[in-house]
Amino acid sequence: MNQNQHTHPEQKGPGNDSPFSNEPITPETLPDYSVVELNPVATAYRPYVMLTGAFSALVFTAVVSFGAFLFGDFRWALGLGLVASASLPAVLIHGWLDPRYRGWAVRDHDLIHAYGVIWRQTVVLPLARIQHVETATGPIERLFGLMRLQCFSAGGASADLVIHGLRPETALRIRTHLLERIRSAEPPEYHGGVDQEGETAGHE
Amino acid sequence: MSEAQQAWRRLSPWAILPLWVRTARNLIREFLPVILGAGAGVALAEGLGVRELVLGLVALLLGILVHTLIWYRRFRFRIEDEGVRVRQGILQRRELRVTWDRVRNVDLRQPVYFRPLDLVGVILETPGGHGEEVSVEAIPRAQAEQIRESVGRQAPDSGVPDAQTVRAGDSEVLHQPSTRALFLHGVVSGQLWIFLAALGAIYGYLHRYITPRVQALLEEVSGDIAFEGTPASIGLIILALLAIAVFLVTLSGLIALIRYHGYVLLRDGDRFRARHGLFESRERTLRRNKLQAVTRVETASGRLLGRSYLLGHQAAAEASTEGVPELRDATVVVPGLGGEEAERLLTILEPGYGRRLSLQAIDSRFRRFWFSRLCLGLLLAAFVLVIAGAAGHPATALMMAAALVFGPPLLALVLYRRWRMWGWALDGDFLHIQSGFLGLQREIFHIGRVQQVRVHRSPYQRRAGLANLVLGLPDGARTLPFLPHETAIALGNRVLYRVETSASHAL
Repeated sequence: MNQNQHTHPEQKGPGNDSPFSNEPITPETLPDYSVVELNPVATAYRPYVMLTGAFSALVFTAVVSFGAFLFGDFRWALGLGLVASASLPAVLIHGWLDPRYRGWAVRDHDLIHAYGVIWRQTVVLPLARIQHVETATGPIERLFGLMRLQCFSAGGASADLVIHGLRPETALRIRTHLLERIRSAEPPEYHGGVDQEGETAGHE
Repeated sequence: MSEAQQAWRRLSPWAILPLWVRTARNLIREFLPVILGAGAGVALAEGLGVRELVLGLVALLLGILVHTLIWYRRFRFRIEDEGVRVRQGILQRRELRVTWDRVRNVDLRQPVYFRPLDLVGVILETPGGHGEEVSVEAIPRAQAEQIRESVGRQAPDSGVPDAQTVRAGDSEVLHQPSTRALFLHGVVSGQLWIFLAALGAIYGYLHRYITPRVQALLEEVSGDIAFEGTPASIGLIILALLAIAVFLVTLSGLIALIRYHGYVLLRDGDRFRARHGLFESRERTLRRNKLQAVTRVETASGRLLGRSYLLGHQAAAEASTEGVPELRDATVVVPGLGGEEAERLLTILEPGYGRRLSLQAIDSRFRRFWFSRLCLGLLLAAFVLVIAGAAGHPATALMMAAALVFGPPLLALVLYRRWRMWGWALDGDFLHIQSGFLGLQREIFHIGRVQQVRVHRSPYQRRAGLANLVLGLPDGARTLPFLPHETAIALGNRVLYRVETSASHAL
């Protein structure tokens, strides 16, 4: 997490009394989001995602079998049901691996979220672009003590970011932090490091 | 603004006509392609008869009229110092207030039947989408222009001079295409496809009723000429195809002439105004600082004729999307441009545009990736056909063999061309993205407008050290595929730095 706490060249330092600086920017001096150590999701997320995945796979198998029985016969239902039931171990393996590739971090000026077992994605949402923050939890998530954080940016649903698998206290603390940042009228001073408040709030 | 001016007002009774027309048009637009496209329209006509259908249509129009009358009676609006307030709704009453600084666009529309009375309809668009739009029909032009000026005057950071100093006469004309340029725009742009899409919707009807008549006519014209393989019949077919092509091209040009009749693009300080339309005169005002990106589009035929057009992108109102990119309400079209004119306008609309910029290519493994996947798809399709017993039919087997022999080289050519057209360059804070196949699109936007940075990696891309960089703008995402992973990260970092050190808001 601390790997990214270097000072940006345009930041005013203690020895720099000038109100204006115009140092050249090189790509090497820019804060790098890719080296930020991400916070893992809650440990309860793995059983949650495996359970919901298994339930979906069972429903899928049942629907396929029933359909095959309606349009074919019992042998068709059994055969296709067996093929469809292969989705059960697949989703269980996927669910087991999912938390390994899922993580999040709050920096001074943005929110980072990485996810995906096969197709991996890293999404960075600048705090200046967040218009609205929500926390949400479904009945099964409540059962596992989980909550998700939803960030909405302006201009439609394309720029949304949802962080799954947070503990409620973590999700609420991040939400409060983000809302405070959104409310602050003045643009924050930039140094690209990891937000200390976010870091505290982010530990699972 | 005085209290009298701020009172709740009703719409002029003249507003009933455009409201009625609009509701009926929306209903037809939504349901007609479904009914006709599925062939249900023909079945309905056969089952009910023409008289019943006409009666049903009249009843429907009367129902819409009653709905419009109730809506009209309940509609009230009030112009305030900071914005406009609207009360509307039939079953559920809704009060909506839109402040001037939230307005992204002001549209003035004047249907042909409003011209003698000089009444116009005003539409205020906000970035939040269709649900927040305010539409006030049939108000005097002076009042509409007052609203338009209020939007410009109240805009924060817009740099717009006071309304008193900006008058129509002060506007600078940026672009006023000739009739020939507009006709050519219709020929080279997608106007033909709009027509064909409409044709596709009524294909069932055309096929059933028109084709026999056309055939009968052709037989009558051809007289004693035997159709089977004689030079005369082949010549006739070529002539007929040429006539159809000329007809479609002419129609395409005429559609553009009607849509963009009298087109003029004006600049009022920091605002642009586009005015056009033969039957419905439209005037759209947009602020320069609300323009998200500008695209120069050169279609394949446009490149041959040296014609192009510009698209100015704004935050998309989802519900107003009509499927065809240049018809989206959130996109402003600047039609009928030659090479030099396009360059000149691009530098005005997007000052970061650099015409002699050398673009960087995306990784050549883009071709290998897609070639292997598409060839695999082709083989799988052939395998499925063999399993299904298609090899037993000589014609299908021949087609399958031809696809397997000629498909891969053709795919390789297509992918090479597609890869060659991709390009990108970061010039200062402006990102240029070029793509295309036979045509060419070049988009330019300020990276400070990006809302979200996303790096996407498939298993192949991870092995090859590549990534797709997706930059989310308020009007949609832009993708740079198959970049070296380090380049994608460096570009992402650069974009984030620019966004996070900028105090301005993307919308």
